[in-house]
Amino acid sequence: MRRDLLLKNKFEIPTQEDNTSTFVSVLTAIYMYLFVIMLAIFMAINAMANNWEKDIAGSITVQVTPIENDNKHIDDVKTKEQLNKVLQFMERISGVESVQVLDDQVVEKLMSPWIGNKVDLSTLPIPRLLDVKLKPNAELNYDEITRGLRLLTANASIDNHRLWLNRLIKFATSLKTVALAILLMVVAICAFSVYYSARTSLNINMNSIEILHIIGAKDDYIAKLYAKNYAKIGFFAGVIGLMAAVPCIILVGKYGISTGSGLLNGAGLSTSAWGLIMLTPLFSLLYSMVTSYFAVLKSLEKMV
Amino acid sequence: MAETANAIQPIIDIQNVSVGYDETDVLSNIQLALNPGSFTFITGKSGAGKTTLLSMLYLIKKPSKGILRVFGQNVNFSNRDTLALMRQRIGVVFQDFRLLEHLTVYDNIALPLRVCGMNEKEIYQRVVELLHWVELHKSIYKPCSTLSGGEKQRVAIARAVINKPDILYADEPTGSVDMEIAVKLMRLFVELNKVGTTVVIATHNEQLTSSFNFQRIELKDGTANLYPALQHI
Repeated sequence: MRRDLLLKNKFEIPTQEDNTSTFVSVLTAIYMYLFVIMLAIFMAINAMANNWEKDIAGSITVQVTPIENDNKHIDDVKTKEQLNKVLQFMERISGVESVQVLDDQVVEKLMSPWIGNKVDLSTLPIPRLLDVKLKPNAELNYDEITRGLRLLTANASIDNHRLWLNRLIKFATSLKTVALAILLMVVAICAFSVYYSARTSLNINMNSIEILHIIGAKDDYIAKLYAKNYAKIGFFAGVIGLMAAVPCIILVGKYGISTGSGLLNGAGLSTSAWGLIMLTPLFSLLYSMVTSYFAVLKSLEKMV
Repeated sequence: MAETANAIQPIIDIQNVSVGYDETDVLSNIQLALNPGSFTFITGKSGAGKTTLLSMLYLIKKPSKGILRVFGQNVNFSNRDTLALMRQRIGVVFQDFRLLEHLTVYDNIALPLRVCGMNEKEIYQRVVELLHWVELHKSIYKPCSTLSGGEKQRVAIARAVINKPDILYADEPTGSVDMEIAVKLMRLFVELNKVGTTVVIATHNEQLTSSFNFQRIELKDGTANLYPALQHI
């Protein structure tokens, strides 16, 4: 038996002649490119917001302003005493896992973007910082802690990062929503193009469809023929869209890191995110297949 | 009682059927019954409604009025899937062949079997066997668009009979061939009829209908009259 003959399963409907296949291939490839870009943006923002949350949510910072002596110089002994009192106070709070005084080197590093590297910090009235790590899911009463600190010293204040973090997260959530909306819009437009392209092809090839009906083809058989054809188109368009989008994502990623912005550091894509992006051709295959199947089935139902 | 039980149920039963296009009936109130295994000519002048009647019989056009029963089933109340299953038991040969020109001879003939879900191995065996019968085995890989008129006709016949249909319709099958080939074709249809296929041929070729003594439906002025085969011939 001739294997090539048996394996030959040519599409019974001559869509190559009506150009709908070319049209929908190009359109789907463009939409898939946009889809991958938007998906990457969405996942990057998500990762960035999660990183902010993870880095900051489990800790608070307590600032203690140095005490100055009569000569307007920093009184190291009194400042240290005060720092120890605050440290002990914080350690006693339930929900606190550990309290650590940030040493000068760390503070120096934190301050360097503003004051440079060659400044002696000990001579400056820079607040001493306590890094307070919280136990998982700990819920602290910040008002009570603030009151306790005030009773202890007027020079201590608490910064739980929540206020500015919430603003950042709100901003990230808006960006995520916009990215998701665009993503869904791209999918919807793409589905519409597949839907109408399949219906147009059906109308153009009405003669072939009628022949198939006459020889006993059920609507499901014809719809499956289209679904198979559109699955192929969807897959290859997905691959092309992906191949065009990946270099753009890598380029933008590299540019983002090279700007050195700390805020963008967490915006990298994880392995699972890349895995999801790589699945785009399969997603494209599936929705092209399903959309064309139902488009054809619905159109055929209206025929005699 | 015994008589009722033995009575042959018509394979095609047309009761007061009207059929046409849009709002206009081409044929009105026709009443016909064809028995299984019968051979029938549909005759009439051009525009008399032969093709319209045939398209209703091969279930692509629904009657606008009346009852049409095929294989004992009322077509008016059959859903799309049931109609498709009924069409799988019907073979049709068109005057213009209506082949899928972009496909090969093999794929065209295999189509009715693929539609039925037959496996490719069996399809191959049946198609090759039939290609020998219609003497087209050398053209198996050829696209239909490259075939001559006569070859296309043979492919069309092969496609119509590959599924061993219960009913075979042919619309002007001898319209584009000379008398000698027309007679050959007719003999082919007679052979199929002898193995039990109900054959219905629409033709305006009076020479042909008079050469073969079969019952005849004559379409005239929107009506249909059935004339039995002449017994003395």
